[in-house]
Amino acid sequence: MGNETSVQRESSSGFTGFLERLGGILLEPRRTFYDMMQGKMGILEPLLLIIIFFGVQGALVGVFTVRILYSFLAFFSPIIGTEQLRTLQGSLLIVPVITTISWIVVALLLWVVSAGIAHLCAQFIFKGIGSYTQLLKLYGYASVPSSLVVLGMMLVSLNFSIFFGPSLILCLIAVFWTVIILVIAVERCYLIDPGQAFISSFIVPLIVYLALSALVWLISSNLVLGGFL
Amino acid sequence: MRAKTIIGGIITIILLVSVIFTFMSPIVLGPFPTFEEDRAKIIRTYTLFASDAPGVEYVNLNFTIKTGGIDINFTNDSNLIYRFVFKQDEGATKPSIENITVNSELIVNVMVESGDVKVMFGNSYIYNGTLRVSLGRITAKLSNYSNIEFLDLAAIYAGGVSVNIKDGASFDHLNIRVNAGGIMMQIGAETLKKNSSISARVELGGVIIGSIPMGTELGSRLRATADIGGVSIAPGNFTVIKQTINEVEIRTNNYLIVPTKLDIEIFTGLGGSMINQAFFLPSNLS
Repeated sequence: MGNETSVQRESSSGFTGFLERLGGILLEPRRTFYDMMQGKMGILEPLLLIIIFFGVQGALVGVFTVRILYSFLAFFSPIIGTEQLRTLQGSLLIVPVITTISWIVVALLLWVVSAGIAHLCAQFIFKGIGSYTQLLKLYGYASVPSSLVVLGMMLVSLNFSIFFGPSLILCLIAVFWTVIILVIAVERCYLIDPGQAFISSFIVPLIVYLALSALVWLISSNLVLGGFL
Repeated sequence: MRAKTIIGGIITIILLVSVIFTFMSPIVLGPFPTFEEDRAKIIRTYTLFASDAPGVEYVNLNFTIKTGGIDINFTNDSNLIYRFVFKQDEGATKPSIENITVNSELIVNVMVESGDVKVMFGNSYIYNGTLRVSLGRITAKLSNYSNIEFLDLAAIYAGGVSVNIKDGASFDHLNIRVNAGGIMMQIGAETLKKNSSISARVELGGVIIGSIPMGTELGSRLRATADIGGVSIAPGNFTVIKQTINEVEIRTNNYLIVPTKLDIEIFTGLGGSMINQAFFLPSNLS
C-alpha cells in the first residue's frame, strides 16, 4: 500500500460551483481564493456579483426613501392639492431607479479604484508579485458579505424599531468580513504578508478616500459659499 | 464543501428575496400613506357665539397643534365668535380650550396634541393672535368677511402654510413663519379694506407666490431675499426696483398714488422663492 503523494481537488462547475464559491468566500476565503487562482477565473462573475449586490442595495434604499418622502409629503396635500400631489407621487418612482444606478456606478468605481490603489501599494511599496486584473477579479468577490447588509435592510424595512439594532450588527459584521476578504485577496494575489496586505487593501485606500473627500468638500464649500471657508 | 454550498444557496435566496421584496414592499408592508381617511375619526365641535361672551370686540388667539393641520375660514355670521371642528383619531387626547374675557378682549387658548381642525370665524369681531403647528400645515382663506389686525401663522419645526387672500379682505399684518418646508400664497384680491402687510419667512425651504395683485385701487410692493439660494421672479407689468440673484424688489406702477397699499416681505434662509409664476397652482387655492 503506497503513501498518498498528491491531492487533487476537483472544482465543481455550473451553478453548484457558483454556490460553493459564494459560500467559500464567507467560510474559507483563503482556500477559495487559492482554488480560484488555480483555475480559470473570469471577470464576468465578479462584475455581475457587484452589479447585483449593490444594485439590490440601491433599490432597497430607493424604496425606503420613497416611503419616507410619501409620509412627509402627505402633510402637503392640502397645500399643493391632492391631484398635484398624486402627480408628484408618480414622479417619485424614479427615485429607486436613480439610487439603483448610482449605487452600481459608485460600487464599480470603488471596485476599480480600490483594486488599483492596492495593486500600486502591494507591487511598488511592498514589492509583491501579482497582476491588477487578477486582484480585480478577487476584489469582486469581496461584495459577497454585503448580502448581510441586504438582509439587514430588508429587516429594517419590515420593522424599523425592532430590527434596527440587529441590522446594524449585520452591517458591522459585513464591513469587518469584507475587510478580511480584501486583505486575503491582496495577500494571496501578491504573496505578501497579512500586515502589508492590510495596509495595501485598507489603510492606504482609506487615507486616499479621506483625502479625496476632504478635497471635494473644500472645493464644493468654496463654490457654494463663495470662498467663505 | 456541503456547508459552502448551503451558505452560497442562502446568499442566493437572500438576493432573490430582496429583489422580490423591492418590488412587493409597498404591498407587503401595506399601501403608502393615502390621503383618504381610512381610520375611524372622532369629530368634536366647539362653538362660541356673541351671547356667550357679551361685550367682546377683540378676539386674541393662542392656538397650538403639535401635529396636524389648521384650516382657517371666515363667514358672514355676525353672531359667531368662533367654531372649531376637530377631527382626531380615536384615542387622541381631547383639545384643551380656555376662554378668558378681559374687558372687551376675549383670549382663546387652544392646545391640541394631534388632529385636524377647521376654524371658522365671524365677521363682527377683530381677530389677533398666533396659530401654530409644530409639524403640519396651516391653510387660511381671507375673504371679505375677515377682520384681522395681526395674525401669526407658524409651522414651528416643519410643514407648510398656504394663504389665499380674496377681494375685500381686511387685515393689518400677516406674519407667516416656517422653519423647514414651504409657504404658498395666492393673492387674488384686487381690493383690500385697508393698508396691509405680509411677512413670510422660511428658514429651510421655499416660498411660492402664484400672483401679485394689480388692482386699480390697490398698490402692491414686494421684496424678497434669500440668504443662500435664489429668487426667481416673472416681473410681468411690475416696476422692478432691484433684481439680483438673491434679492428682488418690485412694485406696481400705481403703488405711490393709490390710497390702499399691500407690502410683502419674503425671506428664505436656505432655499428660494418663486414669485408671480405658475407652479403647482393648488386646487384648493385657485
